[in-house]
Parts: sequence; structure tokens; C-alpha cells
Amino acid sequence: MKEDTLWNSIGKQMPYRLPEGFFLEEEATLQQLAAKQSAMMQAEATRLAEPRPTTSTEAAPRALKIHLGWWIGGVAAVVALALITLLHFETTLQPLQSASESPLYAYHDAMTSDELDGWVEFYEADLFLAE
Amino acid sequence: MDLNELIKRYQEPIYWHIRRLVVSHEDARDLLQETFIQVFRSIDTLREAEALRSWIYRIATNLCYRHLSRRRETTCPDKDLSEWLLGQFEQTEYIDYEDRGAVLFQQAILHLSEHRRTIFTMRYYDELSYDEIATVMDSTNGAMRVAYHEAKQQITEFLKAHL
Repeated sequence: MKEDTLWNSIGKQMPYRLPEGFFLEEEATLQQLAAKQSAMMQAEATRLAEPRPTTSTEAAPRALKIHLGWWIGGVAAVVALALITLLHFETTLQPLQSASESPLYAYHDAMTSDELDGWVEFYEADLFLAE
Repeated sequence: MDLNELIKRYQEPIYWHIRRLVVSHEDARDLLQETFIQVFRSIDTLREAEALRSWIYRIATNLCYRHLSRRRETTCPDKDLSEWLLGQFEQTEYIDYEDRGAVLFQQAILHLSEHRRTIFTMRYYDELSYDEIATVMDSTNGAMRVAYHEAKQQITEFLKAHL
């Protein structure tokens, strides 16, 4: 049998059969599925359009972030204060460290031994008087 | 596009496309519903309205492949898919075994590989263009022509041997 003849005789035949009324029933089923899907999509669109209320589960992480922020800020403030204090003490300690360079010591260095002895005696007398 | 209009237009051709791939009416019915559920979910994301037909066929074909793969793994993993489908064809409901010519033709189609069977049925029965079939199969127009031609040759040889 020629190939063309063979194919012409076959046509589009199929041995597959269906229950009676299958497509009508199935159309109704698919329409229900379509309606359900449309409703779900509508609900989802409405939910996304509304501003979200803060739930307790959502508030918890947010509160934690706020507390963390305050804590970091507090630590930073303490560190800054400590640095400022340290710098201030450095500048105020300088005169004590260089006490030997103060004007009083320069005056003592300029004194003679006799003058220095007289000054000390006077100082000691003051001490006794104070007691 | 209106979903009801979509159902009216594609219900029957998609059902038959699925049925030709999976053989069983019950499986085809379930896969038809799964196909349309996927279509309803994603139709708004479809870029080109012209690609609708090949897109729906693609969803249906992929669901069929997944179904056949799972079925074969659970029932007889050692068998070739064609061999398994031929077994299904011989024992499933809703087949007119009296129509000998049609039965032989379907047996010839079921002897094809999954790939060639899909291409052949879309071209021969559904009359999709080679471009549409290439979109469904994620291939090229030329490859689809070659596959269809080879499938037709294979069927011709089978029929000549069995007539």
C-alpha cells in the first residue's frame, strides 16, 4: 500500500472514548475552579492594598530594634564622655607634673641658704601655732 | 481574556492532547483540571496574547510528563515508558477495541519516544504550527520538522508490518 494511501485511510481516527456528557460536566467544574481562583486573587489584591496593622509578632522585632538602637546610642555616649574626661584630665594634670617648673620653685631656687633657713623656721613656727 | 471563554475554547483540544499522551481517561481528566488551575493562576503574567495556545499546551505537556514519570516509577520502574503505556492502552477503560484500524494507529504512536509522540500528536491531530510546537517543546522549528518526519516514517513502518 502506498504511503499516501495509507495515511489517507487512517485519517485522524482514535479509539479513545468518553463518558457521556463529560465535557459539559467538566466545563462546569473548570468554571468553578476559575471562580475560586478569581476570588482568591481578589482577596489577595485587597489584602495587599490595605495598610498592614502591626501585629504583636511584628511589633516584637520592631521593639527589639528600637531598644538596640537606644543601647548602642547609650554606649556611644558613655565612651564619648570617657574620652572627653580623659582628655580633660590630661590637660589639668600637666601643671602638677611640672610642679618643679612652677614660679614658687623658681623663687626658692633663687633664695640663698640663709634666707631659705629663715623661711623654713618661720614655716615651722606656723606649724606649731597651728597645732 | 475571560476565563470562561478560555475554558470553552481550550477544554476539548487540551483534553485530547493530554489523553493521547497518558491514555487513561481518569488521568487525563485530572491533568486537564491541573492544567487549567495553573493557567488561571498565571494568565495575568503572560506577556504575549498570541502565545496563549502554545503556553497552555506547554503547561499540559509538562504536567503529563511529570505524571507519566511518577506513575512509571511507582508501578514498574524497570519498563520502558512506551512499553508501560502500551500495557495501559490494553487494559484501560473507554477505549473502543473494535475499531481495529484506530487501535493499530494508536499502538504505532505509542511505540514512538515520548518526545516524538508529543510532537507528532500536536502536529497531526491539533495542527499546531512548527513554531508553536517548538515553543511548547523549547526547541527549534527545524528540529520539530525533522522529529515529525521521523515519527511519521516510524509509524508507517509499524503499520506496514502489522497490516
